[in-house]
Amino acid sequence: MKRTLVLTLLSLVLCFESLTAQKTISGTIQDENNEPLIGATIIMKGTNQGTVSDVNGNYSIEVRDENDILVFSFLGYLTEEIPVGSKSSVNVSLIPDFTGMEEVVVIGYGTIKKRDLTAPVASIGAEQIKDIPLASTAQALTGRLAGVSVTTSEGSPDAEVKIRVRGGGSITQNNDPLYIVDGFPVDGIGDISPNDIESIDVLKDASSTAIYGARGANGVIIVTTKSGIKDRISINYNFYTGLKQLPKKMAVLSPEEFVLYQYERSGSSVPERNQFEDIYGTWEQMDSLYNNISGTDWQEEVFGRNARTTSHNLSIRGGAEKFGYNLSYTNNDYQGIMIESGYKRNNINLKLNVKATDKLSIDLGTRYSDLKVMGSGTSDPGKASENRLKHSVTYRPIEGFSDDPDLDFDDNEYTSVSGLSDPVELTRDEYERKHKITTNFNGALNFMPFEDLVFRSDVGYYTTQDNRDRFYGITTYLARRYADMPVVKVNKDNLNRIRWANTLNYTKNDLGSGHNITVLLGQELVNTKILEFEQETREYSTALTPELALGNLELGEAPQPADSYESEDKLLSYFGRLNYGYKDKYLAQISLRADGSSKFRNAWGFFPSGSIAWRISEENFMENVSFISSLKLRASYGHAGNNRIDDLYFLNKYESDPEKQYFLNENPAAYLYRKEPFNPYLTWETTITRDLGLDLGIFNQRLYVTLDYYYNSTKDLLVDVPLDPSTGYESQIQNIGSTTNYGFEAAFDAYLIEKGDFKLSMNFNIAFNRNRVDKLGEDLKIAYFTSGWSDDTGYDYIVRVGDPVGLMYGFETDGFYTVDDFEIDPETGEFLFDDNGDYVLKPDVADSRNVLFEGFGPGSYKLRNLADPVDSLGNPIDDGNLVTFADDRKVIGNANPKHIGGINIMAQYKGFDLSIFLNWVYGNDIYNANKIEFTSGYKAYTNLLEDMNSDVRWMTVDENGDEVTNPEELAALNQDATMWKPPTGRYLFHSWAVEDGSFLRINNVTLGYSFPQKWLNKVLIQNFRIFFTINNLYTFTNYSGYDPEVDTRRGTENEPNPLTPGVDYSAYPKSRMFLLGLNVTL
Amino acid sequence: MRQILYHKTAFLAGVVAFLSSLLSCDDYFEVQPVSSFEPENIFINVDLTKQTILGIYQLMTRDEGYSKRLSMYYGVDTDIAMCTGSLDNGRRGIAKYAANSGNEEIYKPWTNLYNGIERSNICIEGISNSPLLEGGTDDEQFEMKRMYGEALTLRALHYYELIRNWGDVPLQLKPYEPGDDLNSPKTDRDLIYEQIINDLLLAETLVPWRSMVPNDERITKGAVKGLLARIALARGGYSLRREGGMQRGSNHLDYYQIARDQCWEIMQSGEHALNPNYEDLFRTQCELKLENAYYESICEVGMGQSVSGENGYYLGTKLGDKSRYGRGNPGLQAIPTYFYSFDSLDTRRDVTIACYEVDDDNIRILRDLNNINVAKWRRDWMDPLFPGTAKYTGINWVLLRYSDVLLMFAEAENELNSGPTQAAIDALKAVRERAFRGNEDQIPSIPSDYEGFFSAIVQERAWELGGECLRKHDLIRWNLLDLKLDEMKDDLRKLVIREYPYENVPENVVWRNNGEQLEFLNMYYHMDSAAIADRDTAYWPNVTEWTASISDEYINTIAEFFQPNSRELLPIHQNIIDVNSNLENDYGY
Repeated sequence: MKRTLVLTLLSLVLCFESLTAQKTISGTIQDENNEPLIGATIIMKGTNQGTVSDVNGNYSIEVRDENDILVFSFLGYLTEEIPVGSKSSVNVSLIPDFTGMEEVVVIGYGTIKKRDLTAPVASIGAEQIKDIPLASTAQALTGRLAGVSVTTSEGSPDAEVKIRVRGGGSITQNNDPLYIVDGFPVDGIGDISPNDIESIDVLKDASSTAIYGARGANGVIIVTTKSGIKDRISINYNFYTGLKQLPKKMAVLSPEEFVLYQYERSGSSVPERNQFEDIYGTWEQMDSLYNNISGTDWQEEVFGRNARTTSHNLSIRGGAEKFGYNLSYTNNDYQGIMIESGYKRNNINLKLNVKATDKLSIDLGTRYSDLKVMGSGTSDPGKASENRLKHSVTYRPIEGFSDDPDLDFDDNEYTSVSGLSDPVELTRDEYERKHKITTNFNGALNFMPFEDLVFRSDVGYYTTQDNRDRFYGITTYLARRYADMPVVKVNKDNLNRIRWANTLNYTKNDLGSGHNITVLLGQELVNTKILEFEQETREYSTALTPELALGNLELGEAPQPADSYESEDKLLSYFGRLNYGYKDKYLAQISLRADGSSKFRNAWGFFPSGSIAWRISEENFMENVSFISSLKLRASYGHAGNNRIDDLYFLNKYESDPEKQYFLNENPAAYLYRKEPFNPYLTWETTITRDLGLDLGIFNQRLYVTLDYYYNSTKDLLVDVPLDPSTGYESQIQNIGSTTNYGFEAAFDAYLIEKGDFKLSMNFNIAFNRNRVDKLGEDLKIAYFTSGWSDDTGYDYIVRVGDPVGLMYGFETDGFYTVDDFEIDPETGEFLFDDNGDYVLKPDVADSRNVLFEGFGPGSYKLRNLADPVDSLGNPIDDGNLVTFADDRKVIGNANPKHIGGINIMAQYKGFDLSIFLNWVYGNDIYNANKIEFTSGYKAYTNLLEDMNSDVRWMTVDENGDEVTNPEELAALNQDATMWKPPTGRYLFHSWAVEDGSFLRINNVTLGYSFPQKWLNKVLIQNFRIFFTINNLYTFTNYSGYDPEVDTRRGTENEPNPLTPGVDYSAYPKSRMFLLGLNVTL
Repeated sequence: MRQILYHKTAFLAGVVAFLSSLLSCDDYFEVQPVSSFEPENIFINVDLTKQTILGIYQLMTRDEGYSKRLSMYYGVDTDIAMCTGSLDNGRRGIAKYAANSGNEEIYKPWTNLYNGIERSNICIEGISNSPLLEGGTDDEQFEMKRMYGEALTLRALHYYELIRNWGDVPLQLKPYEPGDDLNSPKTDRDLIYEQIINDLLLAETLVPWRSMVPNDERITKGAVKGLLARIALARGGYSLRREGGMQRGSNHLDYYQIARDQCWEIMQSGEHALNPNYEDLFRTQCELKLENAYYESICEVGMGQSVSGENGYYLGTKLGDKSRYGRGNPGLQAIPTYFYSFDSLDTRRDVTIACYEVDDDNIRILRDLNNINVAKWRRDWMDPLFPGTAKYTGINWVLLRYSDVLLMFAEAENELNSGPTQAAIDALKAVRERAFRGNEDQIPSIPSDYEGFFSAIVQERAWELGGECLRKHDLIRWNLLDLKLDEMKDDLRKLVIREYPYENVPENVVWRNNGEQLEFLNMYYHMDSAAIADRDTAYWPNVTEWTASISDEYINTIAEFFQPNSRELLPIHQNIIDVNSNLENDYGY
């Protein structure tokens, strides 16, 4: 009843202007399934008089005479025009518009009809994601757009998402695309509620991104949030709740196997064996003590919980003729599967559009996001000691037998020997809370002095407050370093950005004889200020909880010098764009942007672009080809820049640090130093893109195909070039080098079946990208980089001219040493030993001992001797099969996939809807660093992965627990061994740890049911849908780790490192999620 | 229509005028840096200049500086001390003379030293161009001159560290400027020596004596002169040359003369003297105090507690994590024969070497003889105590002591006069008398011939400066490293079988705790196993392996891969050679 009232009122408002009514027309508007369409608009053509249909799809309108034409329209349906004639009743069945041809695409500083596009732009609309509960905006992008690769680096609730448009050209600088939300440049889209998204448009080549000049080189992702709607009111409530679970564990040794291995390992020295027996008993006791007992499954303890997830979203959207509004509130509360971890987000989004006069309208928007993340996760950009997954995987499954209290091997002792802490306690002790508040205000004034001219002035303010509070309890690495007392670190980062843009848009659609032009002129000013603050305080009483310590920073006995940093970045730009069309057949666009940036001494850069398109389907000769409904050929060329380097790098400047201050009479003395070898010659990194594309619609657009081939080259790359440290610096940012990305993308949208109650549609996209480094520096052909998970590995990534970025560099695994590889004393039949007491290899066997360091002998893994070293003249020096770091490493993996893509299948039957979304990555390698660490016996009493089970690995003790040293017996004992003995030396990167990272993931399955309208109408509800979703249902992969979508060594937030992709080290495991939810529209 | 066109044009013109007015602000891009300084604002101010000088000092407190690597890893193995543990590609690779170009511990010290050189170059250039140097007030001139001298001295010290560890290295005397060639080749070490010796000769005229400025961890004239003497002796001594083998520097007597003169001036200045109590000297440092009666410690690197300095932790006594002293985790051991080389009346032995460890209950335990530590700085000597497992004790690293000056003087005199002068004998005697405090009349006689006196100096420096990680480079400049390592190993083998002069050294030592302290039944004399078995085990419960703990394997692993004329220097790290095509590894690396 209330609803009818609202609609009636609205109708009244709309009819307010109606004048002399002479005739009344009424009727019913239905959709293709003969369901009534509510709120469809009926307008008398040429006037602004009209009405909307009621809850039963009925309408009635008064017209002037028989010559009037009624225009029926509804969002998502083709508009229909029907002359009134003599009829008094007009019933209409609207046909759904799945063509997308009238879709509007947001491009920089304006919009364009999709049919008029001359550049490759990929889009997602609210329609496509409305039925799927999404946790993040980035998730909405995963696998759905050709050429847009989205990698969620790990499974933590706030995991970093790496988005790459067509590969990314930069070598050492940030390859993130530019994010624009409602016109405003922001630093990420993690703080936007997916419910608020109206559309996401991705500009992929420079012909479209050049309008963003110096920031457009890595593509532009434009997010538009929902605005008010005209003449309607719509109240939406969306809710879901569910559980997350760990889908896969890493299998580790059983307690029995664990003890057996520790027994074997302790054999190398008497004190170690004695210690072993004190803890775990003698060999004779082992069977009775450990046979078939179950230990603690630490992965279960830490990641095994059913994590709750709930989300609420309430929005009110509506408007009248003169104004529109949208107010939306979203609350997400997610637990992480890891204990102590969680994620809470509140979003408020408000948009208002007011038409003040015919010539003046005002847009206002406010976005507020409050994000809290609990828990420190498992990964850290630092070294092995700072990463935490190992504790959950390799912590002892059993404590041992401790009948004798004196022989107790307590936690502290265990920790000091194994380097491992009780993972549950450690997780509690690694307290971390992040709190990020983002606020964005935008106001725009549109002034239309003339019909075809719009002046728009846009002012925006964006601010983020990022607080990160950490507390390190006594079991943590950091507390152990400082007096065994808790340590607190507080970071407060603040970013303020002001933007002012003025544009002038002139559109002339009928310049005569089919010429259309649109001209855009604009100016923009963006000013960003950053304030950073860090304080570390040590030596808190262990009596304090994390909250109390953080609430009373001053209680720490040892405050460290605080660190503050401020910087400013200014950008001033002028730009222009001309769109030209001739008879809807020939389209052209040129744009030019001039950007001035405070990051460079030579502030100004110019970025031109141009593109053309030919709509072949509009040609006369295509008239007879009826199955082709649209066909367009596109070509584009453009320049865009990348200015993402630290501020003021060109300036000869001196800075200060709180680290390691000199102490004069025990008082720290602050210091100044020149941190960087400043480079005044720096300029933009420039990406030149070339794109050839084809848009094809067949069978009345039931199948829509987009194909693109592109060839992007990036020059003047901003490379952090390593220097000989004898210059006083280890590296310098230089404009050196170039890269190429080229590839092919295809996207298919198919409306396969549309029969009565049954609808089936499908999207498919696939992208092939190839990356190549063309130049690194004047003389530099190879550069080496380290992922840094362990010091031992040395450089484990290589960048070479002619090859792609992301090559893994290490030794080649060649099985393991068997008894036959060693010299045996012919007289005694025992192994021969040299003067140092080491095994003697046969002359032609590769000698890995120098790189393995410890525990070398039969059963050690073997590395291939690849090459002899060369002397200074390039002549090989015979090093006698010696495997060395210098000569025997090579490229053993490539992190670049051959192709990536996604398939989205959507079906509808009566009230049921089903959507299945799959995505894949094919042909990439993963550097499984976990596997290296978790199969190593480097430290005593750590557990190992099941790969090292006694039935497969090389053993050194027989069934009686006796050390086997006789070559024949050792060979017999290990005749079935397929795995080497756990190495006790350093962690080396060898090809065994490189795994195929290909996967096909059933990413999302959603089944929904919408209750029939006729039931709902009685309770005044427009739409009521319930749904069930499984996220990450199953992953087809041969990868042995938790999840093949992983990328954990990315450097820090401030120093992104795109050069060591694809490392799986200590990642927070990804979860599987089951959700139940509902959508209600009033 | 025309009207509309007119309006349009006017409107457009207005907008364009408005927009272009924004362009006119050329200084729009002038971002005022607020978290950094530009150099022209630094060297016109004494305080900011001082902070820039402190930026050089700061590097010396890093791990790769004198917190650990340069001071500790780089000074072993020798005939008196060694690194624990088995071979790796890090510190043990260095200690065992098996470092290759991929060794983890050689990149950062090199980098850090050149960092220090760059920062020194910046200060040298900045101060020499500063109007305050000649035109400031008296106070400003005094301060600027002092800092100019400090920068010259620190640069010289950094180059000396590079030369003694890597031989010929690139020479940078100007700070980086855009456009510089960034790939410098090696410069002959003699050219670098000439530069830094001249720099130090200038610096010593600029830097004030200790008594003229407040006592702190900055360099004063005595330090400049002492370091100059040390560097001059190295220049005049042996080193491994690219042309092949160990060679003595040319005109070596000229440099011994410089060393002699500089030491003599320190001795004449009255600024520095020997602390009569050897132990007190090191205990004062462990108490984090600067000794201010004798100023024997001429130059220290100012470490900060919990921030820097592993003195007393990595170099020191083994202490239980839960003991009241906090963790001691020593990585350097004393060679057993070094322990027994001391005269029993020499007070330096029990300061230099600790035979005990302390357990979690604060009880001292006797360590096996193959596990005794060089420990002049001990966490258990700290006052106030520093419990917990933190490794940065904050105990300063001592770069130069007055006794070193006396011994350098004596050595140079002997060399210049082909035999010891009375002044040389007096200097050596002063060192020995302090060591034999209370038994001064018992000091061994001092030889008066050249050879004998030289040998006495070689031995005295081991006793006096042992555990200060100067030994390796002393032996190298005398070209005695190989010989002394061999002698030491021979001696160790004699010790194992308790052959002369070790016949009284016990195989096993019987001891007990008196409270937390140790009491010995037979620390310095041999008891046969029967006598040990017959002891009152209730009173003497503990037996520890003494010479019995020394195995052939243990002896072999000391300086295991040393090869004379090849491994006296370290390789340059592969990363550096990869980047700088003008550099390569010599010396057979």
